[in-house]
Amino acid sequence: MLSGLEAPAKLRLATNSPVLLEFEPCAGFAEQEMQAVKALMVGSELGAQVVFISNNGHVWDLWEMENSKLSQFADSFFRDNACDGPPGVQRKFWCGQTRMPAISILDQNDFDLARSLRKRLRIENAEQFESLRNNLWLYQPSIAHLSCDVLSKFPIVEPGVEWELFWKIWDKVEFKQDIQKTKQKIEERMTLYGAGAREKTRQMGFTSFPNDTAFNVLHLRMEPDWRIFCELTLNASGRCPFCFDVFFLIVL
Amino acid sequence: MNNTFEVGNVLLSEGITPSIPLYLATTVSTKRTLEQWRGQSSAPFVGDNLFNIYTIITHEMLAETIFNEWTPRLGHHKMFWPAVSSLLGMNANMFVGNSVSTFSGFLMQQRLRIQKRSIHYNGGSLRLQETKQLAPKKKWRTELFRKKIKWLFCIQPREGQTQDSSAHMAKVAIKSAFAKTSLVAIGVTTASPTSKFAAELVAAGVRLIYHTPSWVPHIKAMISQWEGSNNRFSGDKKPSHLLSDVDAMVGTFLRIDIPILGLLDPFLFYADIDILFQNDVTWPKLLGATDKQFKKMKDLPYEQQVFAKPGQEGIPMFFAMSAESEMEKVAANAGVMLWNVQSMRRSYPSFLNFIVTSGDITWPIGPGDQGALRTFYQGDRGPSYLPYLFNWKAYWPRNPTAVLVHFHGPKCEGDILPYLDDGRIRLPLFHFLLKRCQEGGNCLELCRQYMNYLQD
Repeated sequence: MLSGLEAPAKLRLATNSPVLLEFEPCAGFAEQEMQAVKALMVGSELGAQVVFISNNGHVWDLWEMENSKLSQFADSFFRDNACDGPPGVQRKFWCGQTRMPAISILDQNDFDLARSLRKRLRIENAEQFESLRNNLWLYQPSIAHLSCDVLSKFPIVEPGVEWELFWKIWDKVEFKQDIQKTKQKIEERMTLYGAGAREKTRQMGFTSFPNDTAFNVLHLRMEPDWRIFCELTLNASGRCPFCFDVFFLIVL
Repeated sequence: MNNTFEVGNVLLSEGITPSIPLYLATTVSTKRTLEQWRGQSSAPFVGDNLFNIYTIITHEMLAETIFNEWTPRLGHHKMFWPAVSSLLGMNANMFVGNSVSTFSGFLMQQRLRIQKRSIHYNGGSLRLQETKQLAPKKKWRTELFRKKIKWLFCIQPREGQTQDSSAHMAKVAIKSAFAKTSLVAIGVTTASPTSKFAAELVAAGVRLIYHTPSWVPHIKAMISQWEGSNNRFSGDKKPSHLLSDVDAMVGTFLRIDIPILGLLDPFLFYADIDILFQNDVTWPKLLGATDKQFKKMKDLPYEQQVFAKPGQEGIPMFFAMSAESEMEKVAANAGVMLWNVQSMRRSYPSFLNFIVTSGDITWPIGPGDQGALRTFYQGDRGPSYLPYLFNWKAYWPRNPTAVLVHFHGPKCEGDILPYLDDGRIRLPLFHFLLKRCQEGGNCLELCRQYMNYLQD
């Protein structure tokens, strides 16, 4: 099956599970963060190695992935999950002597190749795991496709096993050094801005904040897409009859 | 609620200190794009409180300095800044987010896990939890009746004066609020943030909202139009000293803008500054409800609330007021009110239109915004009734259970004490009320309290 492939690609594909899970990330930064965690949760249910396509502008390009806390946790978790399950091919794969990776990081070309060699199944909803798992392992090598819609609707509700697992996985996510270093440099810089803020507000009667390095963060949605959302969704529903700018109605 | 342009007011009213920098997590981050954003509003003063009071830091500003010395390899990734912003959001003293945004909702949930405080500036509940994408047991929503009740007052500086009688009254009202109640004091003023007048209020512990009403030119025009006219009080117009005093009139009209300031509280307690708090302000007392009744009310969403009929106690459809000078159950005095912010916000454009098309700023029922409020909101949408205890008059008999005493009409320093000392009367209009001070009223004791607060 692997004949004719370049050696590195062969090597990468050889480490892949007989069953893969591909997921379709969508929307913005935080959505993708949550989708990636949820994909790992679904992957562990199916015993399917989860494919993260790299260098495609996704959020995990910024995460520590290989040999990271996240991958180590996922490896153990997938293995434990399978070892606790019934005997069969799935358990044999995950629970063998060699520890198998739960995450497979592939570039788009390698992924296209891996997919072309597999039977493809779609996940239509997030409640059909048992039959899907059986099919995926029956028709291996196979790949399940998890759409953005299904992934987004995958509920994470407290209290619940999913809630606990979601946060266990999330706690292992780390950003790459570039991001960490930028954040650190900004925080160092905040001391300077803080001095300015103190000086500016002292004459307004505000008392100084006890911590010199403290800062606040405002996530202000002010981009054009927010205006469109506001006008189309909030105004149309009548929830917010003049929601974007009350002042436009009242300037005399 | 959106609050995009009113976000500065939200920060001020929620007590988020401007004495530390405010990092703005948005893709609109260059000076030019921020100016374009402000230009989208037809009001030139929009965003003033955000940009003039707070020290805004954008990633554009940071990139200019930080990346001079070092360039991150991932700097061009389209999610580089959201990633940095999310880390900063986790470490921030306070995170202020947007309730619809997943970025905000996820960050707020993460901060909650490490017991760091966050708020969202646009009210309601988090969409992330409503859609069950991430739904914690404890739902994150702005309570209908927030634990800490906000007391709003409006204050307008007299030109060129810092220690006028209104500053004294404000000082006393604020001190008594802090001494006797658990209220959060919020002032609304046209004063400049750097004025001594405003700075003293802030230093006294007031959360001050600096506001430029759009209707000031109209008020000024109305006062000058009638200045010196023999017909000023002709027909059924009631006389008022406010009708010749621009500052005082702007000061009293300021309260009509309360619903559009962007405060997150669905219900707000308003009281003028010529007051003295005597006991704590609580929701059950304000709504004329027992603790048990209130418990039921607070668990219901806004849409399922039963609003009080005009003249009755309860949750106001628009606002609740108490009596004027006579102790009768008539919702008439705008000096102390309970506002239903949501419905007042919805009706604001038509209310303002009513004011500016009336041709004067006095109505048969009375002058100023009180006259406008009582004329516009009547019939089915008339005010509900606020219990007497919240607007007890100084010239009424002593009442130890009163929550708030209102120096309605005559004031301690200018009127009551001179009258009680040697019968001096500054404004003949107040004579009948001053007489009531002597005949069974409690003015003297209350003015002593007033002076104690003032001199303390």
